[in-house]
Formats: sequence, C-alpha cells, structure tokens
Amino acid sequence: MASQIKYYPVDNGDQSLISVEEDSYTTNILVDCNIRESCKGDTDATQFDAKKDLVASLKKKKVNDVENVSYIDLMILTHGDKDHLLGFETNFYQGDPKNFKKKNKDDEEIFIDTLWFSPMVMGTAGNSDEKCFNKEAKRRIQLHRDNSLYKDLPGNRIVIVGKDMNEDLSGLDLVRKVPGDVVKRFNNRDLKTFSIFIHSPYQEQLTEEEIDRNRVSVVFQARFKATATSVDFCTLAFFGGDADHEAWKTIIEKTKKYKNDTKEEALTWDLFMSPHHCSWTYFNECPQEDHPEPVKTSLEMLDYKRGVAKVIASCKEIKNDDDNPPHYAAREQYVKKVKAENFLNTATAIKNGKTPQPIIFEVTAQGPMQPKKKEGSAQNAGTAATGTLTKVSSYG
Amino acid sequence: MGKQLFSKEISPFNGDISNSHLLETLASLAACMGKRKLDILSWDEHNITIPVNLTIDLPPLGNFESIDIRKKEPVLIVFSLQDYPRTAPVVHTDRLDFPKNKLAHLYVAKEERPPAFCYVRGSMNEWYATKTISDLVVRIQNWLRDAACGDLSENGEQFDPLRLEGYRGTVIYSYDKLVDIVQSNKGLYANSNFALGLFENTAKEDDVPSFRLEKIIKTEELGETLKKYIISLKELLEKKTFRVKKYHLGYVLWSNSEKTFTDYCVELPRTWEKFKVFCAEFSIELNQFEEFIASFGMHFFPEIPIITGLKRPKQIIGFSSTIEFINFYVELKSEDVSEKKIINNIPVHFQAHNEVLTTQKAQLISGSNLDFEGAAIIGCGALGSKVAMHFLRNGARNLLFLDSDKLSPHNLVRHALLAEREGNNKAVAMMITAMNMYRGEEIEDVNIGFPLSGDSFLNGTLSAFKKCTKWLFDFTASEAFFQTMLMPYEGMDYLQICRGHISDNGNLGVLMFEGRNRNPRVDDLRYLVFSQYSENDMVRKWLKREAEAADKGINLVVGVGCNSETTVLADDTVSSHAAYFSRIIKKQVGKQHSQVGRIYLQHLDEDEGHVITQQLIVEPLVLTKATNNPSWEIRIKAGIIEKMKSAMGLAMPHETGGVFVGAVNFKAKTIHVVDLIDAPPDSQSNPVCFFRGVEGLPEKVKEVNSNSGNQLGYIGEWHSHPFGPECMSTVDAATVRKFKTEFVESETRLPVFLTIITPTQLLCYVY
Repeated sequence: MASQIKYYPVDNGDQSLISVEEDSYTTNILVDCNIRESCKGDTDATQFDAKKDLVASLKKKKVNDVENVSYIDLMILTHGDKDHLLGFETNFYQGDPKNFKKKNKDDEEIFIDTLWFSPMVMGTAGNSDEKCFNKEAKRRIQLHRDNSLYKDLPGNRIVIVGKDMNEDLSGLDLVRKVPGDVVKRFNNRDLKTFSIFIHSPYQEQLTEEEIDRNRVSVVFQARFKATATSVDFCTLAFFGGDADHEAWKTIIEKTKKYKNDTKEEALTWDLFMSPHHCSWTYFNECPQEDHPEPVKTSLEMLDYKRGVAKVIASCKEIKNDDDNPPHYAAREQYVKKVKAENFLNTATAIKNGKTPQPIIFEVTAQGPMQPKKKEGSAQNAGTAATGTLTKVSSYG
Repeated sequence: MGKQLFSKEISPFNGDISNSHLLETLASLAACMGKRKLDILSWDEHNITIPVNLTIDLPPLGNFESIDIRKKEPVLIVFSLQDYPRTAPVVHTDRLDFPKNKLAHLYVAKEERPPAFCYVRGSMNEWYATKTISDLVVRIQNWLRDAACGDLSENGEQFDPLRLEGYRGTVIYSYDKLVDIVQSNKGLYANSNFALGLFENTAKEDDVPSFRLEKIIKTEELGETLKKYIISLKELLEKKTFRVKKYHLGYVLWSNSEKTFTDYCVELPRTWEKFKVFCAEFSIELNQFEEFIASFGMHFFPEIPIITGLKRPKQIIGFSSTIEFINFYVELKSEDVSEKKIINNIPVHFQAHNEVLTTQKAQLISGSNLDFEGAAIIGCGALGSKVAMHFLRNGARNLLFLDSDKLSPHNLVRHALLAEREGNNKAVAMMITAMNMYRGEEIEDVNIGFPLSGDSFLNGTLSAFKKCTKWLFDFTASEAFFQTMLMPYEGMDYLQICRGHISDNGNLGVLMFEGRNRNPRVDDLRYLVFSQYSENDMVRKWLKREAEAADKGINLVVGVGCNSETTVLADDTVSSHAAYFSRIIKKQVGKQHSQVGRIYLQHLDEDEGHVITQQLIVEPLVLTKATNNPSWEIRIKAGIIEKMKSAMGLAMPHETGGVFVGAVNFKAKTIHVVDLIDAPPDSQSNPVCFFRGVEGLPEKVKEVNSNSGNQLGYIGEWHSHPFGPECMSTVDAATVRKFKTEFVESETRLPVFLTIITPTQLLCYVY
C-alpha cells in the first residue's frame, strides 16, 4: 500500500489521517479529530461515519494484554477548538496506558501513542473535549517533568510544538519542537520517506498578552519522498488548523528569512488544506466586505504550489452566500490560483449517494494522486448493506 | 491528431452482429463512454474494433520521464465477432505516435498493427470471465495512469522485460549460462560477438520448432561436437524414430559495446532485413556473424535459432542480470546464401524463452528448502517412487535410489513413473527421471540410482555413498529388509532411519522415525505401535481387522507390498499416504536428530472418505543384554522398569512378580517388552519366594493377543529379589528348566525369558 493522506468530511471541522508506509510498517498520524455522535451508524445518510472509518483504517496492536486495539502512532492537535477536537473525550483512551483494559477496547477507545500539542494545553479549555485533552496532556507532561521511568512508554510520549514562557513546561526541551525544526523520528523510529517541517506557532505569538487561539494553531508541512534514497519530495502537504493571515504572514517572512523556502522547500505545496474551513480569515480580516482584498502574503503562499496542486476545504458545502466559514469569496481566491477542478470541498467532492466520502491522496513518485478507479466484477452478491434490504418493497 | 490515429486507416464495419453478448456489451460500452452511438470498425474478418477516448488521471508533478501519455488517450477495443465473451477484448493504442518503445507491458505488435496493452498478468480470457466492459475500461485507464506515473513496472529498480505474443515455439536455456557467455564475451573465436550452440529440436516433425539448448560449443570442442551432431543426423535419417534427438546448430549473438538501451521493441523483425535493423538499434554488429552463418556448411535444417542479448541499464525483472534475451530463429536455405552473404530476405520468427528447471528453481516454486544432506531411498515401488517424486519436485538433491526390481506394466497402475520407463530398473528409472527434470543442473550426478537392493547399502557394497548419507528411507514393505536393518552393520548409528509403509488394505499409512543412536529402533517402533491397542481406537481396530483377515486364511501382512498384481490398492490411496509422508518428512529434515522416536499414522476412512492422522512420541527404550547369553538383547519400553521397582517396593519385604507382554524376534535375537500383566490374585510370596498364580492370566493374555492382532502376547516373567541374591536362585533355575521343557513342545516357539529385579540390578535370562 502507498502512503496516503485522508481528509475526512466532517462538516466545518478538521480530521485528517496521514498514513506513512515504510519497511512494512504503517505510521498513522491523526491531525485533529472531529467525531460527531450523530455520524455514527447509518441513521443519517448526509453524515459520513468518521469513527467507523478511522477505526477500520488504523492498525491494531496489543496494549497491555489486550489484543487488537486500534492504535494511532501520533495525534497532532493544531489547536483546541471544538471543531478540531470533537469526540476526543469519548472516542480516545485517556490515562495511564498500564490501565488500558479490555473494556476500553470494547468501548472502541482508540489508543494514542504520542501526543503533539502546543503549550496552549496549559491554558483554559474552551470545551469539554479540550478539557479532557489538556488533562491527558498534563498527565503526560508531569511524567516527563518527573523524569518518570515510564515517560517514554507508548501512551505517555509527547511532543510540545512551540515555546512560551510557561514555567511548568520549562526543562522539557528534549520533547519540544519549534518553528524551523524538521522532524524525522516518530515513536522511536526514524522514517526515511516522511518528515514534518514545523512552521508555527512562534514564541512571540504564544507570549502575547491576549493570545488569539486560531493564530497559534500548529502549522506544519508534511513531506514525503518516493523512496528512502530520493532527493526530491514527491508530496508536500500543508496543515494549518485555523491559522489566520497574520500567522501565515509570519510563517512566510520567517521561512524566507532563514532561507528555508529554498533550502528545505518549506513553503512549497501540492496539497493545501484551506485554513479555518475556507474562512476569509486566511486572506484578511473579517468581515470580508470591510477587507475585501487578500493580503499579499496569503496570495504569495498559494503561489508556492507546484504542478497541478490541490486545495482541500474541510467544511460544509460552500454556497454563494454570506456564510463564514466557509466563505465563498475565499473559495474564489483559491479557485483563481488552482482552478475549480483542483479545489476540493470535503462535503461535495466525492459522494456515495447522499453521503460525502473522504478525499484520499496516495503518494506517488509523480505527486499525490487520488486512488485509482476500482474495478467491479461480473459476479456479485448483495450484502447486508444492500439498500433495498432496509426498505419495504411494495408490489401491486 | 486526426492523422495520427490508426483507426483513420481502417474501414467501418458493415456486417451484422449476431452475437447477442457482443451487442449488449457494445450498448454498455456506449453508456460507459457517455455516447449514444459507437463507431464500429472492421479489424479483420473475425473481429471488430471500437475506437474510444479514455480520460486519464495524470500525475500532478508531470509524467514520469516526460513520457507522452495524455489526458485523453484514444484506444481501440477489439472484439471477436464469434468468440466474445469467451475471448476477452484486446485493447490497442489508437495513436500511431504512442510511446511504445518506452513502455513495458505492451505486447509485441503484429505486423502493421499498433501494439496491444498487456493489461493483466496471466490470461486475459480468465480475467475477463468475471469482469465487464466497464471494468476493462477502468483497467486500461489505470494502465495508462500507471504508465504516466512510472508505476507500470512491478519493481522500479529493475527493468521490465518485453511482453511476447504471437511467438512461434519456445526455446529452453539457462539464462545465467547465456549471461556468462555474453558478459565474458566468450565468442566462438577471439573478438567474435557470437557463440555457437547445439540445440535439440523438441517439437514433433510437423510442428513449429521448439528448441532446447544442449550446450554452447567451445572452439576446442567444435570438432568433437560436430561429429556428435553428424552421427545424430545419420541416425535420424536411418532410423526415423522419435527416440533419436534432432539437433540444430544455433547462435547466441550480442553487442560488444558496453552501451545500454532502454527502448522496447514492440515490432520485432520478421524478415532478415528488419532483423539487421533490429540488431543495429541495439549495437549488435552483424557482418561477421552473417559471413559465418552464410559460409558455415553445417546447417542441415533450415531453422537456425539465434538468441540475441540486449544490454539494459538495470537488472531484468525475474532474472539475475541486465541482459535481456530476445529469441529468434531464421529459415535459411542453401539458395538464400551466396558469397558469404544472405542474399534473400529470409523469414525471421521469434520464440518464447523457457528457463531450464534446476533444483534451486524447484525449491523456490515449492517454497521448500529441502536438504537431506544425502538420502538413500530404499524401495522405488508405488509408495517409494511417489514419495521420492515429491522430494524431487521439492528440489531435493543427493538422493540415492535403490531397488532391484524392474518396472512392469501392471506397476503403472500405482507408480510415479510412466510407460516410457517400462522394463527399466525402477531405481535407475527414477535417476533418469530426476536427470531429465533437472537438465540445467551443473552436476550431472545429483541423484543416482542403482539396480541393487537395500542390503547393498547396509552391507558396505555402497560404502562410498553410505559415508555421505544422513537419511535412510525404507519404503520396501519388505520384511527381509526390515530384518536386515536390525543387523549391527557399521555406520548405522549415524543414520537417521525412517520407514514408511501402508497397511490395513491400504487404509493406514504408518511412518516411523528412529530416535538418536537407533533408540527407539524401527522394530521398537513397530511393537510400540501395536502396544497402542489399549488406548488407541484406530490401532486396536486396525490390528483386529488384520487378525480377522488372518483367521480367514489371508496372510497377515503388516506393510503391504504394492508390487504384486494381486494386491488391490488404488493409486490415489498410495498417493494420499505418499503426500502425507512427504510432508511429515520435510518437517523432520533439517531438525536435529531427535532423542525420541516418532510414529505418524494416517487413516483413510473407506466409507466416509475422511482422513484421520495421529502422531505418537516414543521415548528411548531401556536396552540390556541377557546375563546368561549376551547375544540376546532385551528392549524394554520406557516406564516398565519403574513399574516393576514400584511393585517391588510395595511388596517389601516379600518378593513379587508378574508377566511381560511383548514379542520375540529370533532372527535379531531380540525380546521386546512393551507392557506388564500384574501377578494373578492367587499368586503367593514370602521374603525368599514368589509363586506366580494363574487365576485370570490366560484370559488376560488372550485379550492382549486378540486386541493386538496376535502381534503381542506373553513373552516372559519377572520377579523381585528385594534382598538379593543378584542372580537366579535354585528355585528360579528349576522353573526355567520346567518352562523350557514345556516351550519346546509348544506350538508357539518362545524362549524362556526370566527377569529378576533387585534394588540395584536388572538381571535378564534368556534360554
């Protein structure tokens, strides 16, 4: 199987799964989560069951003595807003990994090996899922602060993205990554075909008097190579949470300042997840009517696309109205850069009947491509999921 | 683009389509392409073709190596008017400028036609049997997408070889051997870029030739080989029989340059002029070769195989080097040659390559790494030949076949060998079969067969082979050889001995492995199988059936000899046991010689047809010699002596005793003890005497006889001397004399076997 990125259709929210295939091992990286209780099962055809698919996509591992536990190698939280963390409380295991029991597995709790988060976890939570996430992050942080023997066990590992002045996080630089860092080691495994370039948040943003939660989103570039010996990146994908135009301006300026735009191709992209669910905030201040012109740096960022690049808008269907997010004018700006056929809205790009489907890109040597069309068969049998089986048949 | 389409040059189809499947498919294809009507063109008199434009998903960073695959690719789908859907559609590119020379997975083009996509590994007809036309469209779209992404090759680090279709005949040779010739520039003469080879034409007379490379002729061997070639030709002309091999002289041709080529050549030459162009494209110099072939007057047959070696930049997928061989034969007659030149545009055909089979390849295909480190297979009858064929097909080497019997016509009913070996010695025939299977082996004597019995292996006649043999397999079903194996021949202790036979009217397969240092030995294992009657239903029922057969006057044969015409035993039954034995043996080979013996049983249920298998582990026996006569050996099942000691302890201070269950082998002078019968209730004892009673004893022995099919029974007695003496007492000696007198007159010949157990000694006496 090829390495791939899967963008889930979760309405106005984010949930993406990066799967890196290397040496017969899949490293699964979840970027944010958005699991609505209402999406589960087949009661609402307009919602994709993001939990069921996520569980099916993950490898299964033994945790303690419990076999076949759905396992995420690392979860990167861009920021703690509800639409980026929905369902964390009920769908993911929290607590000492030694206490993971069969009941947790039976409850379909997903086990997270390493948590990546910004120092914002030490602040006040804005929703119950964030509260749980912060609690779990703090539990792990404490083990590292205490230099516990168990701090590096799966389920206890952490990476802090960004640096602030919080004393509770001082002395944790061994598990800290800051903008400009390139990460190639994940869960004690060096990957040769995958790396992450950290772009944000910057210290000055994290230490502002009034911190803008969106502005300090974790922003990173996921970088794939076709083989371990390849020189060039064959897929470059940007994830930026809800980072606004100010955050992107800083990213561009700092990256160029340190010449990482050329040395590391750190601004180049094939896949760009439109920040804040295709909000106008990426382009300028809101309301758009008052700030109708996109800022130069946001447009410049889009010009770092290469080849037939794609923008993915993880949001509800974008209509030509005043809604924000998603914002129609923002869509228009993206379309100007990549053409309409390469602007993919998770709500509408791929549908099975009424149900939106994830957008998947497989990593190929020639760039990210959507999976090949599937062949059918001339010999089939209806499954239990056959639609007509759940509907009354009437005959006259 | 219009002018560059092949379809522009072919006419519309004006006939009627009566094939209803085809009509339905065309309707589906139109729907799939979003068209109301399709253009139907005439491909040839049996086929129509539909030109369609496929939308291709191209990679975002540009096509791999800028190969010219486009977003819209015109293709031609060719349908058989009569044979659709049994014959799958063939899909060709419609583009005359399609980058065919840059792509693998295209079939070699038929003359004046664009190449077809090789869209499925294996048979297109098999694939299409479960697919629809829209699946085919998807597959071709994905093929083109893969081509654009550089993913057509299964392994991007290697070079995908050319796909051949429409070849005439095959040529068999060892790829590695020819690579050595090419890479070392081992030309016939110094600086020549071709080698001369002797090829056997294996095709029937009226068939297109198929060749097998017998050998590359070295310059110094030229005279001798040509002599052989001429003799074979003479024989062929005189005898006109298929048994004489038909030899052709042929060539391996290559480029002396180190330059490598990535281009494919989907339009292989079909004439000498085009062959010259082909060679030039791959820097293969042809003048010297043409001069040689035109002036060498030894080509008695017009068909001359020519294998061309093309130099590629990467290792060829599935092969060990960068040389890709394309195989041709030309049809050259005397009138085509003049003044060291080929003057006519003679026909050229291409052939498929088959690799010679080696044991290494067989192991790869079988997923086996069978290495006996030398094995003697004694008995190449029905069972032996089939097990041995399994070994051979698993790529086993260093097998020594021994059998003194010849293959009779009736043997063919259940033998691995076929009629062509009728009248041959079975062991030699197995060797020839093995040699023919693995003609590509470097060493000709990998497997050897002698028309000798197994005795010759044990008695030193074949001592040179015995030294390098680790395993001995006995499939003789011969009681005589079984007894021979019990003889103390030199070097036997190092052998791992395994015996397989079939019993119970063919329904039971028994496979036994001796333990380390021949303990347990095959005879121990045999009696210990019999001793299973008390706890093993399968064994008890089998032995009873054997006993009933004996009562009816049928000879009790434990180990059916399959070579008799009168033995009723089906081939599939023998094969079933042979396959089971082979699988078990493969598991044991390579393991360290076990300290325990192993017995494997496979029972085929005659009524229901199901199969039951069992494995028994046999611990090493206690071995001792008779105190009074060390030529007798006593072999006692593990645990028996512990039981005797326990009884002695319980009876202290009195003596105690009992009866042994087992069997005697006078030939091997061996007594086997497999069980005990407790002292009857009317037995009496005191600290110096034990009087073994009789109550219920005859009944118990009868039960043993009956349940073991008379294979086991009373074999002797024991008693304890808890306080000594450590020898027979006068009372013991009197009893022995009494028993001896009785046994001499008995119908069943038995030795008097008396054992005395003391706290420190086990004293066995045999008279």
